[in-house]
Amino acid sequence: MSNEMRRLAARLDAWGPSFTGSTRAAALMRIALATIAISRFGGEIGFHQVENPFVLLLSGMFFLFVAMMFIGYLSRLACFGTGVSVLVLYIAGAVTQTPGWAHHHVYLLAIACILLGLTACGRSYSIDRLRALNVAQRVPATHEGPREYGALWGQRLIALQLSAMYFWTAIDKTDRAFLSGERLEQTFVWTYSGRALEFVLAYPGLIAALAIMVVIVEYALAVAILVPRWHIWALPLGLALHAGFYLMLPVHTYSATAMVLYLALLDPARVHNFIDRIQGHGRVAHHL
Amino acid sequence: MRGETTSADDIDGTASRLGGLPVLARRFGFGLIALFILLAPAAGQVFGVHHLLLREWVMYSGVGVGIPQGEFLIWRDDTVVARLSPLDALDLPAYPRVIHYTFEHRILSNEDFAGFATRLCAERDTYGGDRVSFEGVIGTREGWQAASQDNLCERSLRRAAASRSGEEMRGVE
Repeated sequence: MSNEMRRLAARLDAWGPSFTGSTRAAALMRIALATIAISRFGGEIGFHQVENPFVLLLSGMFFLFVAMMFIGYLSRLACFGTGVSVLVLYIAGAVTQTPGWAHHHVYLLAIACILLGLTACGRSYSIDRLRALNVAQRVPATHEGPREYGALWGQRLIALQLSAMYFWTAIDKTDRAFLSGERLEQTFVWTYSGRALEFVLAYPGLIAALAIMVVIVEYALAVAILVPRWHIWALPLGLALHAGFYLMLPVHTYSATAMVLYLALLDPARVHNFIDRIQGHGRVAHHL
Repeated sequence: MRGETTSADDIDGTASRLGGLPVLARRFGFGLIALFILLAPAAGQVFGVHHLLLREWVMYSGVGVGIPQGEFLIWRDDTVVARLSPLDALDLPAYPRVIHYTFEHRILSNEDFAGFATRLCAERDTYGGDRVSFEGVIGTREGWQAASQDNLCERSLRRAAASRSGEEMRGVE
């Protein structure tokens, strides 16, 4: 292997499988995804709703893991457990034809939780950290507490998941039916007919322009979210896109989940420093 | 990435110990999962092999499919006595806030027009009409498709009769 290839492989390894850093962004994602999971399924699979022992068991698993994930107790296991529970709900939704369960927003939530389990997301803002601090205090020789630092390769996989999502949804929209605005108009007919936004249907040209814009933005985001120097415009654009989806269409938890996952795109050290700064700590991040 | 200081730059030599997994296993796992994430949607979206766990990112692609856009016309002989929107035909103020795919009145084939017009046919007398037709378009995955349907009430009656006879047969069984 030539030196150039070796250097490239080393850079790829540092970017992906060996990526490490501050765990604060991952911890924030952990708390946010747990909240989204509870708000998505809590009302639908509460014990009072359950009709058979299998769902009761699944419900019990889900609530146990999602609570652990929220407070950060055995965080990695909790993330895996929550992700697998949501994935089982996704599959069960398809098998039993339960409306809204076998949807992309549920799949994205499940995969994000599972991938978050591949990060050291329990080393910040968690019971796990509190326990580690307590252990460290019992050892007098130790002056420093446990570092908010660890493996983050799952965070890179989340970034790839977002990129793939944008790319493949743009591929799906790259046809005459969507680019002419017809498919978007159909969506609006279902969503807006008889409602305040019905007037939008009187402007098919505007809908076609909107459709083309969405496709261009999705193709651009598929690449730009992986290039840090493009983040300055790509991240606000992506967040605006998801805010637009949330306001204009009944997307359930899709937009909220995608927006939370944008934390995976940021440099963990910068997130850490930013949190230090807004909390009035010094500029030196104490994980380094 | 060049020129920026990232947290990964600060830990040369420690990465192999993090995460509790040997380096090779982590690299292999990362590559495998990354390939799955990036390429699994191709199974359905390119090659037409659909599976629940090979998630296709085709969000909202089917919303609006089977929804008519146009007018239901109530006729008396050769004169139109009333023009109704699809929502008026169903006597709905708006399409329900349920998942689109569970909406029972979606028109996925010409036979489904009769079902959409069932209520209208039952009440055509109140408009002084004797037959119902539809002129407009129907939502499909390929965009709007022109649709022109006449004598919907006759089909609606046939459909109701077939449904009744089916129920009776099931009762005999």
